[in-house]
Amino acid sequence: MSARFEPGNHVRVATRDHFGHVRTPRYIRGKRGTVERICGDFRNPEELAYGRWDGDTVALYRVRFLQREVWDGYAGDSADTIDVELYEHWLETEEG
Amino acid sequence: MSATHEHVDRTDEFLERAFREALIARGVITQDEVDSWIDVMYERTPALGGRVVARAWVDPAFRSRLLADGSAAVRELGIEVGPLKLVAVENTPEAHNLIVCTLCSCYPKMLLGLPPDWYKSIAYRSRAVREPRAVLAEFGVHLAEGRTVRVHDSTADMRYVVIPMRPAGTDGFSEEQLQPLVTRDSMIGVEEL
Amino acid sequence: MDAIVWSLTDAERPGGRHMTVDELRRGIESMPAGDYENLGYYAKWLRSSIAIMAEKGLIDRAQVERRARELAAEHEREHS
Repeated sequence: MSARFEPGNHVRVATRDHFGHVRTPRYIRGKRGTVERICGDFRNPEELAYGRWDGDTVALYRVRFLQREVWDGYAGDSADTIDVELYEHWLETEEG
Repeated sequence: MSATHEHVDRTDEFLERAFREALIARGVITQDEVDSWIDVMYERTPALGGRVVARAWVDPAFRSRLLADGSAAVRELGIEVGPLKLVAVENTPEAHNLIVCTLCSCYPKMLLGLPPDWYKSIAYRSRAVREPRAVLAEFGVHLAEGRTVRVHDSTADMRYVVIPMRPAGTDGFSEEQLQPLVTRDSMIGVEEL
Repeated sequence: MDAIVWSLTDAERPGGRHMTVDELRRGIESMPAGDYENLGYYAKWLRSSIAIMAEKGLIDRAQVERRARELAAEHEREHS
Protein backbone atom coordinates (compact mmCIF):
# COMPACT_ATOMS: atom_id res chain seq x y z
CA MET A 1 0.00 0.00 0.00
CA SER A 2 1.51 3.32 -1.00
CA ALA A 3 -0.34 5.80 1.15
CA ARG A 4 0.58 9.38 0.38
CA PHE A 5 0.29 10.62 3.97
CA GLU A 6 1.44 9.31 7.30
CA PRO A 7 0.42 9.91 10.92
CA GLY A 8 1.44 13.37 12.06
CA ASN A 9 1.24 14.97 8.60
CA HIS A 10 -0.63 18.27 8.40
CA VAL A 11 -3.30 18.16 5.73
CA ARG A 12 -6.12 20.32 4.45
CA VAL A 13 -9.46 19.03 3.22
CA ALA A 14 -10.34 20.08 -0.34
CA THR A 15 -13.07 22.65 -0.81
CA ARG A 16 -14.54 21.43 -4.06
CA ASP A 17 -18.22 20.69 -4.49
CA HIS A 18 -18.97 17.11 -5.41
CA PHE A 19 -21.96 16.14 -7.52
CA GLY A 20 -23.39 12.87 -6.27
CA HIS A 21 -22.72 10.59 -3.33
CA VAL A 22 -19.74 11.61 -1.22
CA ARG A 23 -18.54 10.81 2.29
CA THR A 24 -16.72 14.08 2.99
CA PRO A 25 -19.01 16.11 5.24
CA ARG A 26 -19.50 19.74 4.20
CA TYR A 27 -18.53 21.03 7.64
CA ILE A 28 -14.97 19.72 7.29
CA ARG A 29 -14.21 20.93 3.75
CA GLY A 30 -11.39 23.45 3.64
CA LYS A 31 -10.34 22.68 7.22
CA ARG A 32 -6.83 21.93 8.38
CA GLY A 33 -6.00 18.84 10.43
CA THR A 34 -3.41 16.24 11.34
CA VAL A 35 -3.37 12.63 10.18
CA GLU A 36 -4.13 10.46 13.21
CA ARG A 37 -3.76 7.07 11.46
CA ILE A 38 -3.91 5.31 8.12
CA CYS A 39 -7.02 3.11 8.11
CA GLY A 40 -6.21 1.07 5.02
CA ASP A 41 -7.19 0.86 1.36
CA PHE A 42 -10.87 0.84 0.43
CA ARG A 43 -12.99 1.16 -2.69
CA ASN A 44 -14.17 4.68 -3.36
CA PRO A 45 -17.77 5.13 -2.15
CA GLU A 46 -18.30 7.80 -4.83
CA GLU A 47 -17.95 4.98 -7.36
CA LEU A 48 -19.61 2.21 -5.34
CA ALA A 49 -22.74 4.29 -5.00
CA TYR A 50 -23.36 4.10 -8.76
CA GLY A 51 -22.76 0.42 -9.36
CA ARG A 52 -19.10 0.82 -10.23
CA TRP A 53 -17.75 -1.84 -7.91
CA ASP A 54 -14.45 -2.74 -9.52
CA GLY A 55 -12.57 0.53 -9.37
CA ASP A 56 -9.19 1.13 -7.79
CA THR A 57 -8.89 1.36 -4.04
CA VAL A 58 -8.10 4.61 -2.26
CA ALA A 59 -6.25 5.14 1.02
CA LEU A 60 -8.51 6.12 3.94
CA TYR A 61 -7.24 8.18 6.87
CA ARG A 62 -8.51 9.36 10.25
CA VAL A 63 -7.71 13.05 10.47
CA ARG A 64 -7.92 15.05 13.69
CA PHE A 65 -9.14 18.64 13.75
CA LEU A 66 -9.40 21.23 16.52
CA GLN A 67 -13.08 21.97 17.05
CA ARG A 68 -12.36 25.68 17.47
CA GLU A 69 -10.94 25.70 13.92
CA VAL A 70 -13.93 23.84 12.50
CA TRP A 71 -16.86 25.79 13.99
CA ASP A 72 -17.30 29.54 14.29
CA GLY A 73 -18.01 30.32 17.89
CA TYR A 74 -17.33 26.79 19.12
CA ALA A 75 -18.51 26.70 22.74
CA GLY A 76 -16.14 24.22 24.32
CA ASP A 77 -12.56 23.67 25.34
CA SER A 78 -9.84 24.98 23.06
CA ALA A 79 -8.28 21.50 23.06
CA ASP A 80 -11.46 19.70 21.97
CA THR A 81 -11.03 17.69 18.77
CA ILE A 82 -13.05 15.98 16.09
CA ASP A 83 -11.73 12.99 14.15
CA VAL A 84 -13.11 12.37 10.68
CA GLU A 85 -12.38 9.55 8.21
CA LEU A 86 -11.36 10.98 4.87
CA TYR A 87 -10.26 9.42 1.59
CA GLU A 88 -6.89 10.41 0.16
CA HIS A 89 -8.25 12.23 -2.88
CA TRP A 90 -9.94 14.73 -0.55
CA LEU A 91 -6.69 15.65 1.24
CA GLU A 92 -3.93 18.06 0.29
CA THR A 93 -0.58 18.71 1.95
CA GLU A 94 -0.62 21.66 4.30
CA GLU A 95 2.74 23.26 4.93
CA GLY A 96 3.50 24.22 8.51
CA MET B 1 -39.26 -8.63 9.69
CA SER B 2 -37.74 -5.69 11.50
CA ALA B 3 -35.47 -6.85 14.30
CA THR B 4 -36.17 -3.69 16.29
CA HIS B 5 -38.62 -2.33 18.84
CA GLU B 6 -39.11 0.88 16.79
CA HIS B 7 -42.74 1.51 15.91
CA VAL B 8 -43.26 0.58 12.27
CA ASP B 9 -45.96 2.29 10.25
CA ARG B 10 -48.37 -0.44 9.04
CA THR B 11 -47.91 0.77 5.45
CA ASP B 12 -44.21 0.05 5.69
CA GLU B 13 -44.83 -3.37 7.18
CA PHE B 14 -46.83 -4.40 4.11
CA LEU B 15 -44.39 -2.75 1.73
CA GLU B 16 -41.49 -4.55 3.40
CA ARG B 17 -43.31 -7.87 3.16
CA ALA B 18 -44.15 -7.34 -0.50
CA PHE B 19 -40.54 -6.36 -1.22
CA ARG B 20 -39.15 -9.40 0.58
CA GLU B 21 -41.60 -11.71 -1.22
CA ALA B 22 -40.61 -10.25 -4.60
CA LEU B 23 -36.90 -10.62 -3.88
CA ILE B 24 -37.34 -14.24 -2.84
CA ALA B 25 -39.76 -15.10 -5.66
CA ARG B 26 -37.28 -13.77 -8.20
CA GLY B 27 -34.39 -15.66 -6.59
CA VAL B 28 -32.51 -12.49 -5.72
CA ILE B 29 -32.14 -13.68 -2.11
CA THR B 30 -33.45 -16.69 -0.18
CA GLN B 31 -35.64 -16.94 2.92
CA ASP B 32 -32.81 -18.89 4.60
CA GLU B 33 -30.43 -15.99 4.11
CA VAL B 34 -32.87 -13.53 5.62
CA ASP B 35 -33.52 -15.86 8.56
CA SER B 36 -29.85 -16.34 9.30
CA TRP B 37 -29.21 -12.58 9.31
CA ILE B 38 -32.11 -12.19 11.75
CA ASP B 39 -30.43 -14.78 13.98
CA VAL B 40 -27.12 -12.93 13.75
CA MET B 41 -28.75 -9.67 14.81
CA TYR B 42 -30.45 -11.25 17.83
CA GLU B 43 -27.05 -12.52 19.00
CA ARG B 44 -25.46 -9.09 18.79
CA THR B 45 -26.10 -7.07 21.90
CA PRO B 46 -24.15 -4.59 24.06
CA ALA B 47 -23.20 -7.57 26.26
CA LEU B 48 -20.61 -8.45 23.61
CA GLY B 49 -19.14 -4.98 23.91
CA GLY B 50 -19.24 -5.42 27.68
CA ARG B 51 -16.95 -8.46 27.39
CA VAL B 52 -14.45 -6.45 25.37
CA VAL B 53 -14.46 -3.52 27.78
CA ALA B 54 -14.16 -5.73 30.87
CA ARG B 55 -11.15 -7.48 29.36
CA ALA B 56 -9.56 -4.10 28.55
CA TRP B 57 -10.07 -3.04 32.17
CA VAL B 58 -8.26 -6.06 33.63
CA ASP B 59 -5.61 -6.67 30.95
CA PRO B 60 -3.46 -3.69 29.89
CA ALA B 61 -1.76 -5.63 27.09
CA PHE B 62 -5.17 -6.49 25.62
CA ARG B 63 -6.17 -2.84 25.93
CA SER B 64 -3.12 -1.82 23.86
CA ARG B 65 -3.94 -4.38 21.20
CA LEU B 66 -7.56 -3.25 21.20
CA LEU B 67 -6.56 0.37 20.67
CA ALA B 68 -4.20 -0.61 17.85
CA ASP B 69 -6.60 -2.92 15.96
CA GLY B 70 -10.10 -3.20 17.34
CA SER B 71 -11.39 -6.03 15.13
CA ALA B 72 -8.36 -8.26 15.71
CA ALA B 73 -8.58 -7.82 19.48
CA VAL B 74 -12.31 -8.58 19.53
CA ARG B 75 -11.69 -11.78 17.58
CA GLU B 76 -9.26 -12.89 20.32
CA LEU B 77 -12.33 -13.19 22.56
CA GLY B 78 -14.01 -15.49 20.04
CA ILE B 79 -16.40 -12.78 18.83
CA GLU B 80 -16.66 -13.11 15.06
CA VAL B 81 -17.40 -9.66 13.68
CA GLY B 82 -17.24 -10.37 9.96
CA PRO B 83 -16.33 -7.29 7.91
CA LEU B 84 -16.49 -4.89 10.88
CA LYS B 85 -13.48 -2.57 10.98
CA LEU B 86 -13.48 -1.48 14.58
CA VAL B 87 -11.62 1.46 16.13
CA ALA B 88 -11.67 1.50 19.92
CA VAL B 89 -11.09 4.84 21.66
CA GLU B 90 -10.44 5.09 25.39
CA ASN B 91 -11.80 7.51 27.92
CA THR B 92 -9.16 8.81 30.34
CA PRO B 93 -9.03 11.49 33.01
CA GLU B 94 -7.71 13.76 30.23
CA ALA B 95 -10.22 12.97 27.47
CA HIS B 96 -13.82 11.88 26.93
CA ASN B 97 -14.88 10.38 23.60
CA LEU B 98 -18.20 10.67 21.77
CA ILE B 99 -19.27 8.72 18.66
CA VAL B 100 -21.60 9.92 15.93
CA CYS B 101 -22.27 9.36 12.23
CA THR B 102 -23.35 12.69 10.75
CA LEU B 103 -23.90 11.33 7.25
CA CYS B 104 -26.27 8.47 8.09
CA SER B 105 -26.10 6.39 11.32
CA CYS B 106 -23.12 4.06 11.04
CA TYR B 107 -22.73 1.98 14.17
CA PRO B 108 -20.74 -1.17 15.13
CA LYS B 109 -23.79 -3.43 14.84
CA MET B 110 -21.84 -6.67 14.67
CA LEU B 111 -20.47 -5.90 18.13
CA LEU B 112 -23.22 -3.95 19.88
CA GLY B 113 -26.41 -4.86 17.98
CA LEU B 114 -28.83 -2.21 16.75
CA PRO B 115 -28.33 1.46 17.64
CA PRO B 116 -30.84 3.42 19.73
CA ASP B 117 -33.35 5.68 17.94
CA TRP B 118 -31.81 8.87 19.32
CA TYR B 119 -28.44 7.95 17.76
CA LYS B 120 -30.12 7.88 14.34
CA SER B 121 -31.95 11.18 14.80
CA ILE B 122 -31.10 14.23 12.73
CA ALA B 123 -30.84 16.21 15.99
CA TYR B 124 -28.11 14.01 17.49
CA ARG B 125 -26.23 13.65 14.22
CA SER B 126 -26.00 17.41 13.69
CA ARG B 127 -25.49 18.54 17.30
CA ALA B 128 -22.97 15.96 18.52
CA VAL B 129 -20.29 17.35 16.21
CA ARG B 130 -21.08 21.03 16.70
CA GLU B 131 -21.92 21.17 20.41
CA PRO B 132 -20.81 17.91 22.01
CA ARG B 133 -20.61 19.32 25.52
CA ALA B 134 -24.22 20.52 25.41
CA VAL B 135 -25.34 17.11 24.11
CA LEU B 136 -23.35 15.35 26.83
CA ALA B 137 -24.87 17.59 29.50
CA GLU B 138 -28.35 16.66 28.27
CA PHE B 139 -27.40 13.02 28.77
CA GLY B 140 -26.26 13.86 32.28
CA VAL B 141 -22.53 13.82 31.54
CA HIS B 142 -20.81 16.81 33.12
CA LEU B 143 -17.09 16.80 32.55
CA ALA B 144 -14.48 18.05 35.00
CA GLU B 145 -12.62 21.26 34.25
CA GLY B 146 -9.81 20.76 31.76
CA ARG B 147 -11.11 17.49 30.32
CA THR B 148 -10.94 17.39 26.52
CA VAL B 149 -13.83 16.15 24.39
CA ARG B 150 -12.97 14.09 21.33
CA VAL B 151 -15.74 13.51 18.83
CA HIS B 152 -15.44 10.75 16.21
CA ASP B 153 -17.51 11.07 13.04
CA SER B 154 -17.94 7.64 11.49
CA THR B 155 -17.87 8.91 7.91
CA ALA B 156 -16.37 5.97 6.05
CA ASP B 157 -15.44 2.33 6.61
CA MET B 158 -14.46 2.30 10.29
CA ARG B 159 -16.87 1.79 13.20
CA TYR B 160 -16.26 2.99 16.73
CA VAL B 161 -16.57 1.82 20.31
CA VAL B 162 -15.67 3.84 23.39
CA ILE B 163 -13.85 2.11 26.25
CA PRO B 164 -15.37 3.89 29.26
CA MET B 165 -13.34 4.45 32.41
CA ARG B 166 -13.67 1.70 34.97
CA PRO B 167 -16.09 2.79 37.70
CA ALA B 168 -14.86 3.43 41.23
CA GLY B 169 -15.38 0.74 43.84
CA THR B 170 -14.70 -2.19 41.50
CA ASP B 171 -11.20 -3.12 42.65
CA GLY B 172 -10.81 -6.86 42.75
CA PHE B 173 -13.91 -7.53 40.62
CA SER B 174 -13.58 -10.43 38.19
CA GLU B 175 -14.23 -9.94 34.47
CA GLU B 176 -17.60 -11.65 34.89
CA GLN B 177 -18.52 -9.14 37.60
CA LEU B 178 -17.33 -6.21 35.50
CA GLN B 179 -19.09 -7.15 32.25
CA PRO B 180 -22.66 -6.29 33.31
CA LEU B 181 -21.55 -2.85 34.51
CA VAL B 182 -20.82 -1.78 30.95
CA THR B 183 -23.78 -0.10 29.24
CA ARG B 184 -24.50 0.52 25.57
CA ASP B 185 -24.62 4.27 26.17
CA SER B 186 -21.19 4.27 27.83
CA MET B 187 -19.76 2.60 24.69
CA ILE B 188 -21.24 5.35 22.49
CA GLY B 189 -19.89 7.99 24.85
CA VAL B 190 -23.08 9.51 26.28
CA GLU B 191 -22.70 7.95 29.70
CA GLU B 192 -19.98 7.66 32.31
CA LEU B 193 -20.12 4.59 34.54
CA MET C 1 -35.34 -4.64 7.41
CA ASP C 2 -31.72 -5.03 8.55
CA ALA C 3 -31.86 -8.70 7.51
CA ILE C 4 -33.07 -7.83 4.01
CA VAL C 5 -30.43 -5.11 3.56
CA TRP C 6 -27.67 -7.39 4.81
CA SER C 7 -28.79 -10.21 2.54
CA LEU C 8 -28.62 -7.81 -0.40
CA THR C 9 -25.32 -6.11 0.50
CA ASP C 10 -23.14 -8.79 2.10
CA ALA C 11 -19.85 -8.68 0.22
CA GLU C 12 -19.11 -12.30 1.18
CA ARG C 13 -22.39 -13.54 -0.19
CA PRO C 14 -22.04 -16.71 -2.26
CA GLY C 15 -23.38 -15.76 -5.66
CA GLY C 16 -22.35 -12.15 -5.15
CA ARG C 17 -23.99 -9.17 -3.57
CA HIS C 18 -26.77 -7.28 -5.32
CA MET C 19 -26.26 -3.85 -3.83
CA THR C 20 -23.75 -1.88 -1.79
CA VAL C 21 -24.56 0.20 1.27
CA ASP C 22 -23.13 3.09 -0.75
CA GLU C 23 -25.90 2.68 -3.33
CA LEU C 24 -28.44 2.46 -0.53
CA ARG C 25 -27.11 5.69 0.99
CA ARG C 26 -27.06 7.41 -2.39
CA GLY C 27 -30.69 6.42 -2.83
CA ILE C 28 -31.56 7.91 0.55
CA GLU C 29 -29.62 11.12 -0.16
CA SER C 30 -31.48 11.67 -3.40
CA MET C 31 -34.91 11.56 -1.75
CA PRO C 32 -36.95 14.73 -1.69
CA ALA C 33 -36.02 16.79 1.39
CA GLY C 34 -39.48 16.41 2.92
CA ASP C 35 -39.25 12.62 2.82
CA TYR C 36 -35.73 12.65 4.19
CA GLU C 37 -36.78 14.64 7.21
CA ASN C 38 -40.11 12.98 7.90
CA LEU C 39 -39.51 9.33 7.17
CA GLY C 40 -38.05 7.13 9.85
CA TYR C 41 -34.72 5.38 9.49
CA TYR C 42 -36.09 2.03 8.30
CA ALA C 43 -38.68 3.68 6.06
CA LYS C 44 -35.84 5.42 4.22
CA TRP C 45 -33.89 2.17 3.87
CA LEU C 46 -36.96 0.39 2.56
CA ARG C 47 -37.76 2.97 -0.09
CA SER C 48 -34.15 3.30 -1.15
CA SER C 49 -33.67 -0.49 -1.43
CA ILE C 50 -36.80 -0.81 -3.53
CA ALA C 51 -35.67 2.04 -5.80
CA ILE C 52 -32.16 0.62 -6.24
CA MET C 53 -33.38 -2.94 -6.88
CA ALA C 54 -35.89 -1.59 -9.41
CA GLU C 55 -33.13 0.49 -11.02
CA LYS C 56 -31.16 -2.72 -11.46
CA GLY C 57 -34.17 -4.49 -12.94
CA LEU C 58 -34.22 -7.09 -10.14
CA ILE C 59 -37.77 -6.31 -9.03
CA ASP C 60 -40.83 -4.70 -10.55
CA ARG C 61 -41.59 -1.70 -8.37
CA ALA C 62 -45.21 -1.33 -9.49
CA GLN C 63 -45.84 -5.00 -8.72
CA VAL C 64 -44.35 -4.64 -5.24
CA GLU C 65 -46.51 -1.59 -4.50
CA ARG C 66 -49.62 -3.40 -5.79
CA ARG C 67 -48.86 -6.40 -3.62
CA ALA C 68 -48.34 -4.12 -0.58
CA ARG C 69 -51.80 -2.61 -1.17
CA GLU C 70 -53.28 -6.14 -1.45
CA LEU C 71 -51.69 -7.13 1.87
CA ALA C 72 -53.02 -3.96 3.49
CA ALA C 73 -56.52 -4.63 2.16
CA GLU C 74 -56.42 -8.25 3.40
CA HIS C 75 -55.33 -7.04 6.81
CA GLU C 76 -58.13 -4.47 6.84
CA ARG C 77 -60.71 -7.19 6.01
CA GLU C 78 -59.43 -9.57 8.67
CA HIS C 79 -59.34 -6.95 11.39
CA SER C 80 -62.43 -4.83 10.86
